[in-house]
Amino acid sequence: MPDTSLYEEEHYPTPLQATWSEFRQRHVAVAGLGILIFFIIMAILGPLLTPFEPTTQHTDAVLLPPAWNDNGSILHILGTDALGRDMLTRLFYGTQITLFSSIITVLVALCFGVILGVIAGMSAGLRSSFINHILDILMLTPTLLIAIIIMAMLGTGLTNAMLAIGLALIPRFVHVTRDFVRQEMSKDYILTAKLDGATSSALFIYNILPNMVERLIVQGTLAISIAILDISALGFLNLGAQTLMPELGVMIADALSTAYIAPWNILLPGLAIFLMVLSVNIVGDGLRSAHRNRMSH
Amino acid sequence: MINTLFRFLNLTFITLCILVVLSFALAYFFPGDTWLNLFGAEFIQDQPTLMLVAEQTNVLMAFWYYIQALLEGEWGVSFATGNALYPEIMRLLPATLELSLYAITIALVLGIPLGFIAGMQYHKKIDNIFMSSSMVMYSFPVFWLALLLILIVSLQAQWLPMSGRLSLLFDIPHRTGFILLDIWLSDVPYKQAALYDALQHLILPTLSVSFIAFAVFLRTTRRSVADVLQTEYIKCAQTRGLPSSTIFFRHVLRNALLPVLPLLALQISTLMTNVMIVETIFSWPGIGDWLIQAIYERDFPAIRAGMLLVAMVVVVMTLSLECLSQMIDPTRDRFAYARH
Amino acid sequence: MIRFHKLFTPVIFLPILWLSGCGPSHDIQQQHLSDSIAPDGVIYCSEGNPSYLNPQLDTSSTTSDVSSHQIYSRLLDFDEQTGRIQPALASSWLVSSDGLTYTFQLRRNVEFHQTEYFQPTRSFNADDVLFSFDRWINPSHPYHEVNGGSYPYFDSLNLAEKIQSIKRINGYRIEISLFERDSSFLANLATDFAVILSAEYADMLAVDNRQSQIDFYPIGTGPFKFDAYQKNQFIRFLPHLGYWRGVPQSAQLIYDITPSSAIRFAKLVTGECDTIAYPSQAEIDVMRATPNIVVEEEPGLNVGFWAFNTSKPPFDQPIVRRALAMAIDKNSILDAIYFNSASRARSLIPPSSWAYNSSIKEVSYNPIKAKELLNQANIPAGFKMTLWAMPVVRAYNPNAKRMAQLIKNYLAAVDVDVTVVTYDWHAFRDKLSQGEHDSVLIGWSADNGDPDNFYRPLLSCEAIPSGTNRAMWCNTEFNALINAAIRIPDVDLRASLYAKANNIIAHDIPLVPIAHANRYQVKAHSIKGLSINPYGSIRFENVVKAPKVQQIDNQDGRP
Repeated sequence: MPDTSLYEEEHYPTPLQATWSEFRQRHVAVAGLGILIFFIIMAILGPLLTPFEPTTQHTDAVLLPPAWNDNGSILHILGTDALGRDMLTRLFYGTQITLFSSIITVLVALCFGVILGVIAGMSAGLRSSFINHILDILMLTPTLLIAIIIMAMLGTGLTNAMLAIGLALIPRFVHVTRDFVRQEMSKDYILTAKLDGATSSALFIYNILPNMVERLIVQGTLAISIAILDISALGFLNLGAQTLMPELGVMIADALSTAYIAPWNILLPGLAIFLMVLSVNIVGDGLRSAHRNRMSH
Repeated sequence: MINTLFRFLNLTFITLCILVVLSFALAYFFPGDTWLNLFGAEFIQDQPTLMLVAEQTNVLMAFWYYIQALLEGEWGVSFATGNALYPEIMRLLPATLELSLYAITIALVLGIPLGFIAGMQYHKKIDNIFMSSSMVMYSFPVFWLALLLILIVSLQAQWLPMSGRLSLLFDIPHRTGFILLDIWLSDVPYKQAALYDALQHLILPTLSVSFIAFAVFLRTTRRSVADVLQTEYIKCAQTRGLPSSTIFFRHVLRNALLPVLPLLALQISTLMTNVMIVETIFSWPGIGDWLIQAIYERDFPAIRAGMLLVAMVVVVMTLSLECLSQMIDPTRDRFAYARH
Repeated sequence: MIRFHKLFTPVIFLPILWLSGCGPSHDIQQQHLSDSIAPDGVIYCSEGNPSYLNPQLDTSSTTSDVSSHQIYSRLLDFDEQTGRIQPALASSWLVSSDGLTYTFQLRRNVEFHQTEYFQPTRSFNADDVLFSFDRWINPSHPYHEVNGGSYPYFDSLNLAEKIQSIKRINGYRIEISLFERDSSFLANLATDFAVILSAEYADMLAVDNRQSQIDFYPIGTGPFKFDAYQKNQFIRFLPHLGYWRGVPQSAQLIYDITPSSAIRFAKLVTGECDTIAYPSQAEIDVMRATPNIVVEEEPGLNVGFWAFNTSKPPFDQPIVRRALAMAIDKNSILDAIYFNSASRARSLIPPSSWAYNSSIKEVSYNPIKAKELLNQANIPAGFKMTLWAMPVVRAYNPNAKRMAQLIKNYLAAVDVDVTVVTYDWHAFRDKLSQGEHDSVLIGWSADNGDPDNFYRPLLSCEAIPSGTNRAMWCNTEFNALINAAIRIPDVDLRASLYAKANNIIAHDIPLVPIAHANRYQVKAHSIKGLSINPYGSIRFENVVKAPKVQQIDNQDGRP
């Protein structure tokens, strides 16, 4: 026995804790997590802190540049847009909309994806082959195309955009789930549980799912970054959120008409999207590496 | 080999069938009159086969004639312009294909070699630089990137134009639809100037799309190379004392490239989405811009037709790549999508 | 990895070498020299698609801008500087003493366009004039119903009914008889809409039963001939080598159809367009500051005004109206609403019209005197009145609601309580014609260069039932003056009559003219020969693009 301490407990970290300690060792990943948390806080608290509403038009302060510019004013720290709406307030609300709608979309897609994946993984034959085909086509179709079809059927709007992107994201989760389930089904511990008399659903919930959580989280962060990009792209094209909402893509589209005069109206929302996506990607990458490192130890 | 080919054809055929069924079904699902959604007008003179569809009472017979009409190029007319859809789409498709092709080529030509370098220098300084820059690069929203390029390069520095494929002063007759090819084939007196102008118009849109694709290709390749380098047989080759160049060219290169192919195939759909978005920003007259205009105008026949064509092109391209990679490496697990 | 370099170096350098071979200054061989020079031409960023390539059928300025002065000529033209009527396809004309008969002598040796779809065998003559006019005058003309059968400009003036007959005296002489004297008749012939088509082309199309092509593949005598039109993309014109005023100097003329004004501006900055249509107000100031872009402005033929409902007491008293007019400061309204895009209106008629006289005495801002006059008229303090503000944006009034708020503030200072009223545009105009308003902020844009087009619809007695006389004002002396003026052909005599009319308006103040919105033209520095045409649509015939080399010289010496 290598350990000579008699009184201290053995502490074996759970898989999640192990991944977290691996994650913590990579400074970039932690920095990314910090930025992400900052955005989440901004999205939650920001709208409560600002003195302005995102839709009020201050007609005396139209197209003000940010405060560090000569013509700017400290009242509107990041300037105003063409209708005199305060940019900082809109950024807060916009981050809220974009971030939360992406997270909701991914969560819903995850649930559906996992359920479908389980069905596909645990079954075989024609049913699984059919599901596979549909999913393949869904994965191969460009997201914009799926979005256009949904928009044509149901009309434009943020919820329909979320629906379209959710549909496009489901196949990823299905694949992860299905591959994992297939892989695990042949393993011994599943066999043990079956011999114990576990039903299929119990098998899944208590045995397979906990092992899958990490992979789902990794896949989920990737999906969140895709969702943020796609939702804002649809907002930009006026196919998603419409012009009244302070969604970040919509803000960029609105700013196009004054692009030459007031470029910060394009720069700032875009920067917010970029940083959000970057932080999610850094965190996701960090989680993936941590997971891989844990698996290889 | 034949087996794979057969499976590929089978798969493609089934997929195309599903797409055609979908495009037919969408006529019901889209709001408004089903027949109008299908044809675009009550009566179209030069599309008799399509008109036959309306006369069928049985849905299956209607679908049968619909397939015939599709094969004959009678895709209906547009709500907005009243023009026949098929010729219009085929006129615009080459522009999109041209942009996608150049973007993919640049992303491949730059991404794969640099990915190799990064992978070979796994976790060393160059690798870290490449990793961080590529992560920054593919976090860019494509429409923001395009707008930034326009703001900085076109408006501020005035180096490159910001819209269209070619300055309107050039009158190049439309032959293939691929602008560089058309200029080459034409007999106008200002060929070189036209080529130069077309290249200038190509740079920014291609850059916007390939920027992101390049980052993804680089990372994919690097991961694949890193994985290959960890394998036993490479370590074995190293312990045997083979020179690095031999190890690289004979073992690493091929084995690393093989898994990359299908993963790159997956990127085609993302690339298409980006191309379509970039087309609207640069007023590039391609299918993406046309489709987005169609959805603004609720031009349902046009949306159906465009969707069918784009989906077909993407599916065929992706499945061909998969088939190719399968043929080169039959041992590959086809279902390893999500690992990356 | 030496092998990499061997492979890739030539592959990388070859295109760079080839590209560097492009450019005129490095080519030695003659053949390559012409190959690498880009074709010349002027690109105009326009705002939309024309409905037809013939302005007879449409009053939309988009259609006129494309076709009127490019493809066609008219019998008469307006001089851009003075607004006077000039000969065009009619080299001279005579008006009979009773003013009912106009005889036009037509210009000889005027050639029509030669295109792929039409080769003229003869030059312009009286038959073409007859055809072009009969098409819209005569409902049973074979071409009347082609492409719709409605000729909005002529229909709105009832011009077809005013013309008794058009006769061909000989191959180069036309006689038009009217039922009544009408001094604006010549002006109407000089508008964008009275274009001359080719009768020979019409006959050719009729033989093949393709009559509708006349408005989509047009033939005219104008400086540019039609080459191609792709909807939502571009329209291409080539110079008419036989143009009677001399071949235009642009090698091509292209309309780049760009609906968004921001993108038009961006294209001007990047050089993809040489001049643009309808710049937005916010961009004008930035454009002024941009090097290589020239912003020209001129007061347009329009007026924004504040009209009182003179049929409702106490607004029927001139003293009340004068008091209210004195209570507002026009200059601050100009600053706050028009942002430098308009000039102060001193009379109904803008300075660009020949009926303008600068000696007009206008009311100045004097709130104290205003209060005095109100007291004199026994208007109590706290007097309530309504101010109707139009809900739509027009050049002559971009923000009527805001202007109404400003006026409300001014009138509050003289103890008048104003309620601002507005409805949607359709309902607004209906209620205005019922006379429900006390006063209204509205305006007018002229259709042609004739001053009658200002006075008659806005202030004549006959215009009250038709609803365009917002002041509901009927002054017999004024009416007699404008009716007399329209019967006199002599421009100077007319001008003196209009001067008297202006004085009556200034004295009686049925309305307070506020601003004449400017018309803008924004173009690249290298474009010469393009000026603002206040009397019609854009004219490209004299436009020249200075080549880049010359441009540098110009920047050195010229102011």
